[in-house]
Amino acid sequence: MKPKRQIQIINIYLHPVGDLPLLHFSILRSKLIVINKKYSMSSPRTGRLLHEIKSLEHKPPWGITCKPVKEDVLDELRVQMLGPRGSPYEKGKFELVIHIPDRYPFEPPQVKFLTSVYHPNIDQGGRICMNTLKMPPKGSWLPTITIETLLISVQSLLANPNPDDPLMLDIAYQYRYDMEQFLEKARKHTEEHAG
Amino acid sequence: MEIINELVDEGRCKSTSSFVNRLHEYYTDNTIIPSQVLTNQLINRELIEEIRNIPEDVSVSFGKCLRDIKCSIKDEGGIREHEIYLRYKGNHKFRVTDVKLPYSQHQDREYSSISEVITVYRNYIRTLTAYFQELENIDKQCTVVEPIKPSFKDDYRRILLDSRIWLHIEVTPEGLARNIHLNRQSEQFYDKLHVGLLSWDHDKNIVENINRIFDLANISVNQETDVELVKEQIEVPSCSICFCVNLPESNGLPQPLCQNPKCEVYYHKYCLYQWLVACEGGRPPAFGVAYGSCPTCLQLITCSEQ
Repeated sequence: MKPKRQIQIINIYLHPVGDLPLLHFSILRSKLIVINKKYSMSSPRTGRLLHEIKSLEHKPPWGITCKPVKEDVLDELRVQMLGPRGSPYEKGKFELVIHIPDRYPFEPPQVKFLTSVYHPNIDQGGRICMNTLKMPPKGSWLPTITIETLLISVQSLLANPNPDDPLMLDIAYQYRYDMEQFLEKARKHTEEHAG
Repeated sequence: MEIINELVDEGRCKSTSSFVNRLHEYYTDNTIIPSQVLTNQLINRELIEEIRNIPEDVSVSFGKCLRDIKCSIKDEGGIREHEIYLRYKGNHKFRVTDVKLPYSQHQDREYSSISEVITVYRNYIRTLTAYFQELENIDKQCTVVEPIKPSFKDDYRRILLDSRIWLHIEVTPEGLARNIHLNRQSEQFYDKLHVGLLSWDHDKNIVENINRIFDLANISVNQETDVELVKEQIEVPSCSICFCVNLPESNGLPQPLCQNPKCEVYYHKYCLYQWLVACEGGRPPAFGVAYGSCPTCLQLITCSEQ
């Protein structure tokens, strides 16, 4: 007589955490079977962000620290940036926030100043006018640009304003025609808001 | 099961009310966690009966629910095991959802019983013996860079010739090679391939032919050394878009996709395609080929979806 098949199944579900999808095991005749093998690194976004945050922590560029707001959620990063040396922002400590869109790195991250800055290319809401922060054909964002290089370019934008593409018209005018007063005002504003 | 036997069979429950009382007692003593998956998707008795009668050399297991069935068939001599994933669609209706075999029309039809599936696939597997042997030889003796985990489902292999040049080769169900080409231009290898294809020896197997054409002896893997180990040593550069080497979405490793010989940057096909499509406002391109510029050197670049 043929031995009868016994069907015994125990299902184990591990519920999704953050970007990780549901993991599903079954135990069948004392053998463990993984039914849903997809886990972790589920998209270019997660893998890349983990990589970027790690390298920002290990060797941060000068005057920049960047950390996720919540340890396991990679949607929002908080940045502290020191003003570049030799600029009117020298003594300032600036706070920024980075929002990572769902389609990152195929879309640029949104970078914003939380600290008020007196600058031709930064408005009162902290929005930054920079080409690399915009999608082509208008902007020049590329998926090969990293958060690190973006932050370095924001830092160098502080040192070298671009009055040809201004967000604050009056500050741009002042920067072009009354440099001394601009430096004076920027220094004072930095002392007041980013000291 | 024991619980239910105890509740029903012990003769203690002579009326419904005493049964309910016992049940109530049991529930207050123990916390029972009901399984939703099994109760929602019950299948009929006939199926279970059929599974019991399936020959012993075929092993059957279940997936997420009892409707997902996996059969493992051994081929003649029991060298290889082939897995067939089935879905129970309703009374006497089965569909093949996945097999680790090259695509065939057997995958598209409906079956009335599991044994029918097994008979059809047994015959199909028998015709594929040469195909299995050729692929096994390639996997054993050459350094295969793509697919990442080669299986019999993939009828192609990409073999490493040097760090940038890979040989693409497809194997027909009859075990013959076709569509042999290089992944990018290289005069040195192109000439060798051209001459080699003209003098292809059909009496020898694919690996022997490739070995003769490219003199792989110095790069190919010894049978004793572990292929995985060598793969790690060669170290494929990571993709410049996602910064990873392995990506589940991408059916392959990063490749030097830019035709600019000075642009040494590697991308996953998946990542580059996604970027080129995103540049065009997310519209999928005509004929599945996206145009744009390389995200590193800005030279014109094209990329197909797969």
